[in-house]
Amino acid sequence: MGVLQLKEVCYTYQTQYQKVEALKGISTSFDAGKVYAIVGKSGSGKTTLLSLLAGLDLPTQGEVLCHDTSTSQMQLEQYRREQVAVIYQNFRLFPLLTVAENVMYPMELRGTSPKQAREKAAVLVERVGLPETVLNRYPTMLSGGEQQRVAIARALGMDTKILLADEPTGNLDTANSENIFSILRSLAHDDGYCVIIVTHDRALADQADDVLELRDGRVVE
Amino acid sequence: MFLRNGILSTLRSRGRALLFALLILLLTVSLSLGLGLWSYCAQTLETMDETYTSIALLEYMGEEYPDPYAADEAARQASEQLGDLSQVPGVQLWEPTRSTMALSQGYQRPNGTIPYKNQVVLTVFQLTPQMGKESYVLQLEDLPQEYLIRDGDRCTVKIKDGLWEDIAYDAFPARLPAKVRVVEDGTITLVDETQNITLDLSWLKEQEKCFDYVRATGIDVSTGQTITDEYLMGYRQVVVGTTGIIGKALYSYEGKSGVLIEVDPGDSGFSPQPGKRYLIHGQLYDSGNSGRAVVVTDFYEGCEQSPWVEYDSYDDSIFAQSIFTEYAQKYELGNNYIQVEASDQIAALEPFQQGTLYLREGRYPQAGEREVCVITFQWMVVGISNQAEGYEGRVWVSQGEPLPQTPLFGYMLGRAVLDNQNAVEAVKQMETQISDGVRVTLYDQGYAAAAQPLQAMEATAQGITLASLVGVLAVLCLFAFLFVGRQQQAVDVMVSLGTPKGGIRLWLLSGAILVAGIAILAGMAISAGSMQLLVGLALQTAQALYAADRRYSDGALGVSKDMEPSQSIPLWPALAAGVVVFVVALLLCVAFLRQARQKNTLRQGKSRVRVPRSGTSTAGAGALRFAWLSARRGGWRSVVVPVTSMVLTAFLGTLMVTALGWDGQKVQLYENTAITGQFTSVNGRQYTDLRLYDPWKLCDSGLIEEIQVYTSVPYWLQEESPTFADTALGGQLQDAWISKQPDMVFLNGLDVAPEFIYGEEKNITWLEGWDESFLADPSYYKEGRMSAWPCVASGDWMKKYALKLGDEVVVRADTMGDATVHIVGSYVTKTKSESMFLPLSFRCLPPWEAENDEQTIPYNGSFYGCCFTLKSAYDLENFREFLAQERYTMPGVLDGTRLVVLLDDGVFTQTVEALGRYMTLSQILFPVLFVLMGVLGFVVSWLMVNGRRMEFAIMRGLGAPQKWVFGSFFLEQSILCLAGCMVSGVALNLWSGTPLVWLAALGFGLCYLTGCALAVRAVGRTKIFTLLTHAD
Repeated sequence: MGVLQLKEVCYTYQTQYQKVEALKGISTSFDAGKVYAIVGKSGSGKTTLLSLLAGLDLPTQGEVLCHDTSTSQMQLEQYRREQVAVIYQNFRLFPLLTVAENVMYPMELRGTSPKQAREKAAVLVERVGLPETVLNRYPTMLSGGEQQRVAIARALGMDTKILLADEPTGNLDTANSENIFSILRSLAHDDGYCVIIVTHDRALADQADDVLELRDGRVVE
Repeated sequence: MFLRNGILSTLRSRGRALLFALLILLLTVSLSLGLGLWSYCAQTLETMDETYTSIALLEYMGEEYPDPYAADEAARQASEQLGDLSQVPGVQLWEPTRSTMALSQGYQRPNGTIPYKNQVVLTVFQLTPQMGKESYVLQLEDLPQEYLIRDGDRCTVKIKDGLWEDIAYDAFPARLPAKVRVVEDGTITLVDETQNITLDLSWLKEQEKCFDYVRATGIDVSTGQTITDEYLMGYRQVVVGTTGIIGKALYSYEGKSGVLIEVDPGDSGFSPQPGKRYLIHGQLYDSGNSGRAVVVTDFYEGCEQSPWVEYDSYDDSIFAQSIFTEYAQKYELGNNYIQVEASDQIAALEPFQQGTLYLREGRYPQAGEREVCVITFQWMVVGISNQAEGYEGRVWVSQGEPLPQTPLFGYMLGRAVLDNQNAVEAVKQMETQISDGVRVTLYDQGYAAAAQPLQAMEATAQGITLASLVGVLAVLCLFAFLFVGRQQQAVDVMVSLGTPKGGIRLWLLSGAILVAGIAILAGMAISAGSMQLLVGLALQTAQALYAADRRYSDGALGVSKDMEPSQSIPLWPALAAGVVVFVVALLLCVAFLRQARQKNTLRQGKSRVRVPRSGTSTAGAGALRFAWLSARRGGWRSVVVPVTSMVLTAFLGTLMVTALGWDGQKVQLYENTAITGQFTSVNGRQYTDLRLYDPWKLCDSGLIEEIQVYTSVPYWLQEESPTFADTALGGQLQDAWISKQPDMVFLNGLDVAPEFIYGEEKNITWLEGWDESFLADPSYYKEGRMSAWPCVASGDWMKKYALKLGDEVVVRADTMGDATVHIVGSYVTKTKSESMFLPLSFRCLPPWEAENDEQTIPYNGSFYGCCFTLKSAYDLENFREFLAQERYTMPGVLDGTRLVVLLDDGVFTQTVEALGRYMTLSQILFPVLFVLMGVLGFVVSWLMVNGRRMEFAIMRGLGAPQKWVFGSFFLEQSILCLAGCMVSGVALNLWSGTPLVWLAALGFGLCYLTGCALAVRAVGRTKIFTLLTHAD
């Protein structure tokens, strides 16, 4: 049984001028220890799907189940805080917090003391392959690849086994992209994470354990 | 294309466009109305400045002030010393008083206004000596051979060497003549019917043979023995006067030709010879039934020409040209003169300016016009004024008439017509140029009262205009930011499509300017259409709210001009407001163009943000930790908010301190001002010599702190008094002499003394242990007449009689007899007054010391002056109400009780009004400014929070609870805002010394944080999905 399941998930949103059906009855399941790639053309609904998996919103129809519990029955904030970790294309790091503080932030949200979080952050930063010297730097002083590693470290700090990544290598060069992907793959295969990656990069997708292609809001078989 | 697309893009954001159009419209209307009201008030006040002029009267405070007929040499000197005041800034016209006397045949001044009523120059004939009885002490050798001695009830007929007959007689000696019978044969017989004795006493027909026996008994002070003095008192007929008939009166106020008159030679030595005719100079007294008499007097003291001269006929040269004819003319002129006064602005002269007189017919002479006057005898009458008591026989001509350069009498030295705006300053400068003893009184023709509502409305209009301008700036800043500055996306598209810069500008500006333009035009149209109505309503409201109460005020003295408010409301303010708003909108939109063309992307690469020195922080916890870290490391954002808070708090604080200052000044003004007042003449200028029967009634108001009154009687030293005959004529002469003596003034404070009530400095030297308080001491009333009455005497008077402090001297007071006064203080005045001040309780008591009403009334029944001080300036309005209820008369208004009360509150009221205007301005402006500061705080905090939507999104994405997110941003902004407010608050507190400035800091902080909370809430309500999408 997958750690994340989608059951007939539909998502419709209203713009100023039209009603958009972004997802149309998607049903699928994601298991721990595997890397999933969601691919599709622009407007196919992949980012919407990732947002629903990340608990940023609820599906308009159907349900997203996490460990067999529907997200509609959970507090989404708590879900985002405790069940899923998200890595974004643009890293989304706090510009005014140091690398360590960024990594510490989700831990502190869950009640970890800053001191303990600081120690754990150092371990996580090392784990994603960054030197200890970056801990006291601001994210904007790092390269894109380093920032994405910091984002991964922050995600690891959330102490969850579901890792969602929205174009995690979109702003990175090939070397950095491969480096990041290897980290993600390692997390899935070595640490049992369920890693779901949204990407345009077909080559990257091909390295995933499973690929889900979306077209016009539907899964292409 | 750019134009069309720009307009369409803007208009399609309907809600925003409508909201801002409405805001701009309202602000245009508000600004138009502010400017319209302001310009209307300024224009009306300017017209009033031209219509109204202030008049400054310069008067010399001489000894007999304000007697308009007094011939005071000091006043003449003061007049000649006055420089040319026309050079003083603000003086439109300076005219020294130029007046003289002229005669008009047939014109006779009414009694009471003539200086030489008794003086006469007339001829007398048929002079007949008048015999009178004179007593004298008789020496024995002077006795005739036979004589009669009257001794009590006995008569003794004696011959020189012995008793010829001793007659016991019961009759009172004075009645003896009744027993002396004159029989037909001419013999005189003494008949004693009891003894049947008849003596021929024909020889007693001669008075010289009838004497009284006098025996006087007394005690010799040196020996203590009783001594007796005996002598005979004789009587003889002497010439005591002369009667005659008045022939021709060269001058006599009342004529009297052909009437019998007693001629008293007085001290002149005139000894008329019967049958002769004389031309005499003297004083005529007509006592009705008692007859009439002329006392022959010298022309002047030391005159060598005797006041009488014998003449043969009226053809004598003495009737053509002599000192007699000169004095006759002088008296005629003095008594029946017409006062001619020259001025090029007659309407500004005191009686016209005061409203006592007005032009009933015709016109005033034009400046420099000759041989015309308002009323005349030879000249052409071009104008006739009304009649008023005290202004009989006045002629006003232009300065073109060759009158003397200085006035011949009175205390009015001149007048200046002043610009209203510069009047006060002009008076101040005049006061530096005039000599001591000259007083300047300023009358504004009711300008202050008429201008007050307009000035208040003008201040309100200025407030509205200022607030509107601030509002315009704030709203248009936001408008330009949203409609131009925030259009980066459209700009990016246009840039990517190779759109020229001009096209991009046109695109961005067209829509914004169209929205603003339509709103502005609509605002202008509404303003122009409603301006008349709104200004009218505002004027009515202002007149109702701000009409100052000037009843009984010295600030309302003089004639009040009425001016109809202008009905023409200018339309240019609407146009100007529209242009201003449009130009500001255009400029701000242009200014925000640059921002629109900057890419809104995250900075890459190296940042200017410095590395935190302390490294990664582990201090604190929760939202506060994030807020503190963001605040510390926020870079320019962490500077903008505190600086903005600091500046705006300082602005509000300064306004508050200013307002508090005004409020404090007003309180201080009320606390420190003593409102005084006095009873005055009808024109409000004479404070003394009134007749006040119950000034104490003012105390019934319960609002009087101090009241001073005075009453007086003439006094003199006994040895100074001339001897007056015990006749009606003598009585009149004595009364005339007494009336010229200085006054013994009974008062309960020196402020009310005629010498000081007009403002002369009290220069008093006190005997040790004495001060002014003894004048209010009631004990003298209860103790009755003391051996010596304490008094403050004139230094000049003391010098004249070689007196010094502590001396006692016997003076005689009219109707009071002799009194010994003890000099405990001396004063010196410029007018050389010789009045003497004594405690009021020698004459009466104030009500709070009296046991009954009778004790409060002086023996002569009335007081001659009264001044008072209110308990508090806060009581001023209540006191006015009291005066009105009790129907006291206002100066210049002939109604009510005819007891005129004048309050010296003009300057105070004007200052309070000015402060009131500022406070009104602050009351209007401050709420608007506070709201605007709040809006500004909201805008700043909104911009601050909105600029950090990405952080917001991250937090939400990481599952941070709403409270955490809210707290993080709100606390950060609070820290920054409060830091700025604290700095300003401390600085303002140190500067102003009042902790109330913290209210400004608190006010702004609350406004800012409210705006911040709303902004955070607004961002927080945005769907996180949208937030994350947009954040990218």
